[in-house]
Amino acid sequence: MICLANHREGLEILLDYSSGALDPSRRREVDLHAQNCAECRRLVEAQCTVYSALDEWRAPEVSADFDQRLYARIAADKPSFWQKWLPVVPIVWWKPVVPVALAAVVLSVLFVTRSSNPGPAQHQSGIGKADIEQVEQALDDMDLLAPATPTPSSVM
Amino acid sequence: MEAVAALERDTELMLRVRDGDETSFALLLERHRRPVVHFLYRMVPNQAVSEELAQEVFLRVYRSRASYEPTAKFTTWLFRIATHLALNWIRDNKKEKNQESLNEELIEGAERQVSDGRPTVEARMLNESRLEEVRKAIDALPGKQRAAVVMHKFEDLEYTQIARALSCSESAVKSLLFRAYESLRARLAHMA
Repeated sequence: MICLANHREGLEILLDYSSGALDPSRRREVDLHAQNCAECRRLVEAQCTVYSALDEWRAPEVSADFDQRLYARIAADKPSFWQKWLPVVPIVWWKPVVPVALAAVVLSVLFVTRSSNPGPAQHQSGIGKADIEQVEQALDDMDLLAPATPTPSSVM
Repeated sequence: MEAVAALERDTELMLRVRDGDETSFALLLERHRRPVVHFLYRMVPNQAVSEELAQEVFLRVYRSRASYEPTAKFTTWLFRIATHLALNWIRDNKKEKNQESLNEELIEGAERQVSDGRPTVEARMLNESRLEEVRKAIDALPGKQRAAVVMHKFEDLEYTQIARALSCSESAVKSLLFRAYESLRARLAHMA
């Protein structure tokens, strides 16, 4: 005879038996087994004692003002800026933003660097012409960002 | 069938809350307020703390309403939040809570007994003594074992639900329960 108390499945059966959760046919099987197995009988008796003791432990009723206090907390709970906006923007939108932002930063640095060292002709010809040349220079620099090795003259 | 219908109703209500229906949140609160408070009371046996934590549970449910997806039963999600809060509270208040909560409950119990005129002092003391034994036995269990027993015994949650609430496997839940009940049998055997 295999003692139910000595393995997991048997323990689970005995716990369910003790709480009355077993179906009638299964219950009869355990009844028959327990008649011949002292260890299982002891475990069932002890487990029934535990269940009865736990049943005596009543929780107090919920306070009458529970809901009122909860709704006050809800009213006072304002989302932070990030909580408000992040869930609205799907995470997939963020993926291309980082490399684009990085490229924009690099371009801006190059643009500012070039524009801070203008040639004499650019100073004399006015802002508009200098802007166009700076843009052209920035576009040339963009080409240098491609995998091809840049020439020494283009390196800042 | 009735239980299945109730679970589906919970999901339906929460989806309505997601869509902005405040009345549905009130209905969910009405349905689940008591079980959540009672669960937390048995985890952190102090009525004030259990209600505070229970409010935090519902606050978090409300706060995350916009992103709610019915990937699990609503009660599973609810008890997962409650378990998380309870275990955190137990961890953060390990030393103080034992003495304070037991003293408070003894006082409350004595007041209740006096106000409703129970017959004998001896019967009251015996009852309180037994309750204290039970509370101490539950309190002595490690957090996850305690949560597993409370959900299994008092909330009638299935093994799969308890597993999701505790973020572990069903097999691990059974191990937790077997160990917890073994400890309880040892501590409460004299109460037969």
